[in-house]
Amino acid sequence: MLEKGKISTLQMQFIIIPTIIATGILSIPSMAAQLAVHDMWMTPIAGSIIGFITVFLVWKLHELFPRMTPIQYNEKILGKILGSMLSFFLIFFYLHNTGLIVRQYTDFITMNVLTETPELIFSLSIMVVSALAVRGGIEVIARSAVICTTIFMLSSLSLLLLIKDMDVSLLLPIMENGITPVLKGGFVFGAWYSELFLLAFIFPFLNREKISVKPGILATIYIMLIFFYVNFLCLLYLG
Amino acid sequence: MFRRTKRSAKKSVVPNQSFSEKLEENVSFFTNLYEQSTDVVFHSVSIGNRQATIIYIEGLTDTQKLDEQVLNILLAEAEFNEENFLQSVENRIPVSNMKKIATYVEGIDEISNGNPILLVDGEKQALSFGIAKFEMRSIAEPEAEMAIRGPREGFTESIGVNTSLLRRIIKDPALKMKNLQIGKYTKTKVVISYIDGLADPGLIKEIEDRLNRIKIDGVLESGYIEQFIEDNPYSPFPQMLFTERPDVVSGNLLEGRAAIFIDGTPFCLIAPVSFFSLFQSQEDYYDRFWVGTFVRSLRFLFLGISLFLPAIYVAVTTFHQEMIPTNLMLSIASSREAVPFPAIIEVIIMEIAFEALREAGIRLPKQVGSAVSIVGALVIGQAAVQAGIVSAPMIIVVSITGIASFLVPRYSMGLTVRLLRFPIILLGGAIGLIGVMLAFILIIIHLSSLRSFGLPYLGPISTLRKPVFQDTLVRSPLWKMDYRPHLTGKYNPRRQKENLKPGPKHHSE
Repeated sequence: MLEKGKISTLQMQFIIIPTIIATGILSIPSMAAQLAVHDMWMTPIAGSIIGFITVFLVWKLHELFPRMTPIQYNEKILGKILGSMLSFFLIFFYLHNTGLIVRQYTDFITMNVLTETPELIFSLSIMVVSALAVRGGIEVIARSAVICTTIFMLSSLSLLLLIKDMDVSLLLPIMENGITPVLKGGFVFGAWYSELFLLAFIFPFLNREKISVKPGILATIYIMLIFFYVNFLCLLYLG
Repeated sequence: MFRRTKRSAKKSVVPNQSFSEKLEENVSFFTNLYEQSTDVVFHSVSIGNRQATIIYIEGLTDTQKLDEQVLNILLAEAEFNEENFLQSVENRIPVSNMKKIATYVEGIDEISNGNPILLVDGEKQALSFGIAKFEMRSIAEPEAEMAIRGPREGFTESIGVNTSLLRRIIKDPALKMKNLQIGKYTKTKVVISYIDGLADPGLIKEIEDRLNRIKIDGVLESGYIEQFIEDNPYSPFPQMLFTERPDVVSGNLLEGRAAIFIDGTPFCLIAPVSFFSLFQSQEDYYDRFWVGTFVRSLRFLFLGISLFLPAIYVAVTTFHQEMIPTNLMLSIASSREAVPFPAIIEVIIMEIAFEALREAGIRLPKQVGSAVSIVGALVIGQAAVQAGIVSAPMIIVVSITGIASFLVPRYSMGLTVRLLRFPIILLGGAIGLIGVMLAFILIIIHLSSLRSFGLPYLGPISTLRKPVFQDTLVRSPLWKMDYRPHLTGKYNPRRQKENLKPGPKHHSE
């Protein structure tokens, strides 16, 4: 089944942002806090460098091989055998990755919310829902992403209702141990920012011929801001 | 075997051939055709020295006009031009809408439409007189779509009246009406109406193609047409809008949509529509935009309530008690103490009882209907709680949900919401709020994949096509709505002069 849908760059941003932040905001703050302690609010900014590099690479590759997915241009770059091997690796990497994400989601629910329900129910149900979206094609994914992301973002504003509990003094002293812990904490983000490589799979389905690097960079900035917002509030509320 | 013979016997094909010159043959054809139909009148006259027959259906034809304007002339004037007999008859008779017809098929059409036909001996053509007239309801206020402010006219069952109502609002000749006939036996007249230059020609072609595909026995209501031409027949969501208000139709035509009129029903279909156009009511535009915006957001809020509130109640009381503030939790628990059922059973009993009451109230005559609703409300509201069958908070939830589903201005959408509530309750009862969330995502995915004649159903919000917020979640001021919504294909964006914002300084110009 070949995908024929076309989406706009704005929709692309709406797809890629929740892809990265959804699992990121659950697990990164604690990891970053271990490494960077009270400087963790800076880590998303440090980590975003990886994101910018990824977006730039992906964009350059797409400039060289317009209207092609990585699977298609792998063979052109590396030749038939090596290219297919890399493609296989990529595909299985993302399959594996998807499995991990489903597992994270399931664990999150069974540990925190519904402790007695079998895990399989949650994995299966979320996979059925996702499969339905995939069956609808990239346009359906894009449209539902726009709506779900908007609602999710709006609900995350409710964190601001706790503003009276904010303790700004927790930020001090800034960069107590130099910049190294911040960079280390930023490195944690690398795993999530590098998911921006998924843009390479979306670029061929954009509805415009000439794609600039701007929407990708903007998406990275938005992701950075959201991570920053979450980490900052985590630090100020929880210490 | 039996079936086959029956079918071949039924196949009384009307020959698509011309009238014969002999009056006898023509008349016998029609008498055979209208055998055992006492309402078809064959009236023989002699005009000058020729024999003639007038055929019409009683009750469909204005017999007074037939007597005064046709028969009077035919019988009084003895001298018609023998060479060109029909032409001379046509010239003398004071009826504005006359047609010469040549084939049997045309003749049958004219007769069925109430136009009497005149067959004359020795002529290969017949004349039809456009003096059809039948009894119909007068124009009244649409009962299903009440309005406080706005025109009080509604469509009637007669398609001619309906199109004329529209023509009275949109006077530009760009308003087009295309004629079609659907239904083997009902031969229902269907009119596609659109504004040339605003509606996408591809859309009109698509609608025409889909209408032409319909081959059924009869069309009794717009719903017949709707179910044959929608994009996704399995979806619970309506993909067309129906209305009996000429102002609603005009508003939609001016946005570049097309309307489908069907003879015999006051409801007119509008396509393509989006999810958000099903939440627009004509009064949003007639009142101040603040009011329009407020009412519209209220509708979306109550859409959410009516879909999800019972499910959330079930989920929260069954699985997530820790989410409820302690005081509320205690009061809910104390009222649920005596109730023997789990929350989900309770909700389903109440919802089904409510739906049944509503259905009973609609179908019954008005006097009985109110009695049913009073008894039902008393039984459900008071007695069930006192007897300890259901808890009081549940009554509140069910009644809010019930009221909420009335807030949707389009009835068909309200039906969908009523229907979808039950699976969501089941999901919420099975896996708690996760189930409610999954149901929400499923609905969003389904809506995203829907299209109405090529228009994405959740557009323009989900497609982020400008103007996004002009007329969807909010109703922006009329002087700001400079652009028409972008539907499909060719697009004529500007709807008004820019910078029309009123203010005192403009008057000095």
